[in-house]
Amino acid sequence: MKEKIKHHISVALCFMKLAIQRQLEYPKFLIFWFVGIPIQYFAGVWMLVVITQKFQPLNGWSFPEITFLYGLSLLSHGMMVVLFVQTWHIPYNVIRGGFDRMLLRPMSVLFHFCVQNFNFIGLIDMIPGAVIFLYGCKISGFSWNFFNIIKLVLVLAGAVLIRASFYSLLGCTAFWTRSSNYLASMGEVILERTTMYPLSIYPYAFQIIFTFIMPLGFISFYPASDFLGKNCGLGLPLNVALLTPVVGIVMFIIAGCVFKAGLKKYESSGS
Amino acid sequence: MAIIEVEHLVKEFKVSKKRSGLRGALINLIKPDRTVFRAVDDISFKLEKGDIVGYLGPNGAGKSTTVKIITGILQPTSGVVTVDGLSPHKNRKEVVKKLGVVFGQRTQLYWDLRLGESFELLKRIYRIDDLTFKQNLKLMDEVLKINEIIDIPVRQLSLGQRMRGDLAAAMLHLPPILFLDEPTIGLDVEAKHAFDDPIDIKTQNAEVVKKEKFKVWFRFEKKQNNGCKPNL
Repeated sequence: MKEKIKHHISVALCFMKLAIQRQLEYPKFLIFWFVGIPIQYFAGVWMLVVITQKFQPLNGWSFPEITFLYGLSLLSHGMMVVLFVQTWHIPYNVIRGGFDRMLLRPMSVLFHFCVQNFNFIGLIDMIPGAVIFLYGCKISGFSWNFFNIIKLVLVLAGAVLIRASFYSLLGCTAFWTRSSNYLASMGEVILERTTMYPLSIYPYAFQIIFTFIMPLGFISFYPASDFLGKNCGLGLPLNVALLTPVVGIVMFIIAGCVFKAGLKKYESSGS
Repeated sequence: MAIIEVEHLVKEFKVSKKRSGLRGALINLIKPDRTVFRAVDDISFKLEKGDIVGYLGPNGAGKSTTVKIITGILQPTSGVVTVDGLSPHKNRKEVVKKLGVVFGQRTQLYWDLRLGESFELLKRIYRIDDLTFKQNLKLMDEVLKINEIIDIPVRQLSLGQRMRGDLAAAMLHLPPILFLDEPTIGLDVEAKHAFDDPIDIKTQNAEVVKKEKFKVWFRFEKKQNNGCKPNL
């Protein structure tokens, strides 16, 4: 068992190393990213200004609280882009036979797929998220005590898993539909709209859907409600933030099972 | 005991024939013209350790599909496949440890990085220890002259050089079974012969044979033939 874990870690680290090397291979290309950072950064901050100035309190959520919520959501988005951006490309792999090589290697295909990419450049995505979140923490009076920090780490880990699982489930539909059409962009819009505003502004039915059926509310809304001591409706218990990692793990397991079932339907490509 | 056994292997794909044009697309939507296409039709064969065989057939005969089933990539519709006594579908991880596979049209090498980096990854995946890794690389250099190209990014290799790299990558863990699916695709006549050399060396070189490695070679070349029965 110990040997097995060691093996998996060593492979994951090697994939990570190669992914970083690959992205550093084109130094001139990196320049575009460094030009891109300030633009993206500016857009992120500008969004914050719009949110804080133009919005009226939303259903009892004040500007600082919404900033905190939005920052929390962006932070997990950034981490997801770094670690699991390949979940956007499941349909492509299904149609183009991309899983052939993974199936030929003596490792779990799911593990191989999860660790094969490390989007080093995606770290840039986290900058606006971190800035907005820290600003939100400051103006909403988030207290950086030990318990909250532990909780925050767990929430972020859970939120990343929820996001990755959500994209995986959307991508896995390609095993059955055989369409390379891209659901990831639709998923991105759904995620943005449900994690950036308080869920409680939506009709009751939507809240039920995004809590129990498609539990995206646990990415940012429920944890933010918990951290800020807001009433999140639906009569959920206190300490609801700690549900986020649980929901994340459950969703990841479901997504993994669907992935494995889909792989049985995998037909490679013609050549 | 045969190292590869295939019995009454059948693979069917559902194919929907498409009508042309927008009108056709709308009709396809309401009344799809689905047919079942039998890509592999009741094939049985046995290969012993040490066999070097070719598998011939015209385009679309089902050669690659057969290989993909034996290597565990595809599930058969019916029939039994065993590789060294195991089913590649129930014991995929165990079976693929014993396989080396080259798909001529698709490389497993990291396109942007020097060739050696891809070997490093395979070393970890197949858990090859340092000493064995060094010995195997030396062996690859003897037969494929890998050291000439090991520090060059894969994208800058010529097609023939890349094929050498791919072949080395497939053999790095010294698999007892090797599949080559069109390894000479896109190579000119001279390069094709160059590619033959390592195979000859492999089979004639006493030292290699003594190690009882590289015993089963499949060669897949598209040549005119009447069907997809293996030419054994």
